[in-house]
Amino acid sequence: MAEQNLPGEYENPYKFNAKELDTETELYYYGARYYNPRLSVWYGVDPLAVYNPIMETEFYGDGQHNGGVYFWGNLNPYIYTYQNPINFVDPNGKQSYFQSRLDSQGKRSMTFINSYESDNQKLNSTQVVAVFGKDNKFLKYEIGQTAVAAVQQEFGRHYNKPHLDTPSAGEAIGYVAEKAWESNEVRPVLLAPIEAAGIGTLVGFLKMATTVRLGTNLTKSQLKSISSLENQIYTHQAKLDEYIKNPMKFDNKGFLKNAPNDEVKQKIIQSRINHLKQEIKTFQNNIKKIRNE
Amino acid sequence: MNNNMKISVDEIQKITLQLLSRLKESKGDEIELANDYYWEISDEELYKPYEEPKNITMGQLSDDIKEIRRLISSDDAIVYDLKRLAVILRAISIENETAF
Repeated sequence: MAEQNLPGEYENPYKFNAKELDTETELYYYGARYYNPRLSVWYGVDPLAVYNPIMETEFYGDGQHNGGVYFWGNLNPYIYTYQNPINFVDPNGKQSYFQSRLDSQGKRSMTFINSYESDNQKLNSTQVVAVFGKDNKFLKYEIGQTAVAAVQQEFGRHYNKPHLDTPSAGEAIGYVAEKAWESNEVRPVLLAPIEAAGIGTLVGFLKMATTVRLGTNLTKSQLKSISSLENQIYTHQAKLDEYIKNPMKFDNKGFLKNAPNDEVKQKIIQSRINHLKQEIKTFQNNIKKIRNE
Repeated sequence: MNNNMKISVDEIQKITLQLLSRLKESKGDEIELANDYYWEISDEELYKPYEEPKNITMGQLSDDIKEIRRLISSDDAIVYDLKRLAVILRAISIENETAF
């Protein structure tokens, strides 16, 4: 998935799955390996396919990591996320680690864990990392600052191209963050119905999870308020842009159409724009108040 | 503290239900609003009786209805939504002065 920028657009090197695109090779750098978005293959084999007890803690040959050599997906060390980028993610170029389980409604969900198992490994700023303790209990998510920026960038991109229907890394990251918030004990992350949640929600949750990571004093209810307010900001921003583009679309009762003259009509439109801007400002101020800023 | 400025949420809830039930008896389950745009004084100026408001913007009832309808299937309600509800109730009141 090579991304094209429109003239004048900010050139963000972090594109597909928030990984850095190397402009010379047009490959994505994933930490452990490069990924070719056109051929959907990795350059270099999966490090876990090669026995290396110093650099890696798992080896497919020993049946480790999703069943190791006994699972078909591990037999081809070049494929990306077991050919299923919707359900699995690959945050670092090693194979995705996943678990399938039934939820309370009997629905099967896929959960992912990447290869990080302790705090010892350094968080790449583009990554969302699930951290598990020695007892295999979920400890926390760590979200790199660039990942936050990438999500915001994704939001901007989607926003300008509402018909883009491929679930993006930004959305996936947001979803991870949402689940991180919802669940402190299970290995979460259902990445399937990504489109179901609005991108605004996802960004909100991501920020929330980031705040959690930073050890905030805010209560769960305050964080929820912030998330709701952020959703409101994003939906209102979208509404404002839609309105500016075509105010007549929102002229439900024909007041604009039947305005006595153009001056009055323009006054209504401008006042409406000011109102939406004011609403956004109110939401932003409310967030600041909750955060005590 | 002035007791005239205190109201319990229970009281608001009771009177709201009472008024809405009267409205339903009189106008039926669905009410169509005739107006859409309305002038709104900014929050900062609304309660400053010594100063004449300058920042007047324009709200839209259709937008308020759309926003609060969204809340039925979402848990994203914020306190601001009370304001939307208030302007909708005000419009119903203005447009149905003699309903009950």
